[in-house]
Amino acid sequence: MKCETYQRGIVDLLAAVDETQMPLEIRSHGEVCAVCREFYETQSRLFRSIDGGIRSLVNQAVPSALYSVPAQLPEGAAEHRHLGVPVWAFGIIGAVAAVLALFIGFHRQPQTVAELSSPARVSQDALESADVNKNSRMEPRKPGRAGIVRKPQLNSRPPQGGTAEKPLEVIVLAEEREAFAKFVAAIPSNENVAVALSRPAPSVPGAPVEIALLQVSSMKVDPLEGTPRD
Amino acid sequence: MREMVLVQAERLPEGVASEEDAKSLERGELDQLLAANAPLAYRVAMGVLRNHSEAEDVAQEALFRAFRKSHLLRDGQRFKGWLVRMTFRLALDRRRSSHRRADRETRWAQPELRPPTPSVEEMVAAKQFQERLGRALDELPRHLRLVLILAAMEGYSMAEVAEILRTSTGTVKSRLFKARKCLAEKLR
Repeated sequence: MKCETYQRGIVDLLAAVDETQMPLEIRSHGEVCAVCREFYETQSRLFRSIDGGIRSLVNQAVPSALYSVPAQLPEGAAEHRHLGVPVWAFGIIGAVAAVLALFIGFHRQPQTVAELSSPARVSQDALESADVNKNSRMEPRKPGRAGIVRKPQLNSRPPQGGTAEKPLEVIVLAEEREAFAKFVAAIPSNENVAVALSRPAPSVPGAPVEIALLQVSSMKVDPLEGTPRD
Repeated sequence: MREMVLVQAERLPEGVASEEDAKSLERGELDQLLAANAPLAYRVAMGVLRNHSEAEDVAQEALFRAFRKSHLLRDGQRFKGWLVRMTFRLALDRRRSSHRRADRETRWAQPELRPPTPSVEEMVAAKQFQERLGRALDELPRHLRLVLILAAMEGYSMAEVAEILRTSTGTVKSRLFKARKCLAEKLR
């Protein structure tokens, strides 16, 4: 056996936790090689010193003050749980709920826009309840529908192949009529134009006015009387 | 897995306790656990810091933290391992900050901190070896160092160390072997 092999084996034997019997080959080499025997003695002392050093380090007398630490701890200083759940968990749950709500809202938005963009619904709803009078288009309507007038001959279709066949109408708030007429007049003769659409004013005061996108395939605009055109 | 309250319930009269009783006993058991494991915390801290006052500070802090965070512990039987890890981390943090402080403050600026001149050669040798051993310990990987410290403690068998660290006895032996071999290489 080479001395190098012997010395490696000796170190492994000494480092091992379990008391393992020295293999015969190693033992016999140690008996004949003085250098390796000396190495073994040195390494044995080293490992004994290591063990002794660590033991003396960690097994020192514990300060008596430490035993009285529990008595010094204030009553009720421990952090509490609510219904078995730590307080910080509520924050995480809230954050996850907020993210989920945002995510769901983001993915539902296109559907909502499509629903709101249906010109047929807007128009029919408005016409049924607005009691439109052809001779007095410019006059405000009865309470609850005041300010809504018909904007004639604006042909449009729903974004995804709506079923409306006859020309549809868009109802514009009275106070926005002039601006809308200008806006429509400025639209180029290009199909697939997106137009902002206001739904009829809600009958309930304070209720929000819905605004959505309207995809218009073609339109014929008749400006209102007295509306200047550029 | 048993709740700490349920562990207490075994000691309660008639097996059932009012909520107030359960709370007070929970606190009582916590106090017992803290007192029983205070030496363990101190020794773990001592194994890392090698300084009495610092180890005492760290052990106190670990015990206080264990008290404050006791609601996080669902299983009272894991208290020992939990406290050991907490103390070990705190001691390592303290050791790092001590090193930084020592770098800032030179010994020349504070002569009173110089080590006393040894009078006996053996004491010098022992002290030098202890310092070298300390440095070698500092250089050990954390998982090896903790095993070495715990295994050197009186009254802790391999199985108990394995239980504290929530690992197997074989893993503890393997880590201990590596740690001792590594230390021997450094100190040779």
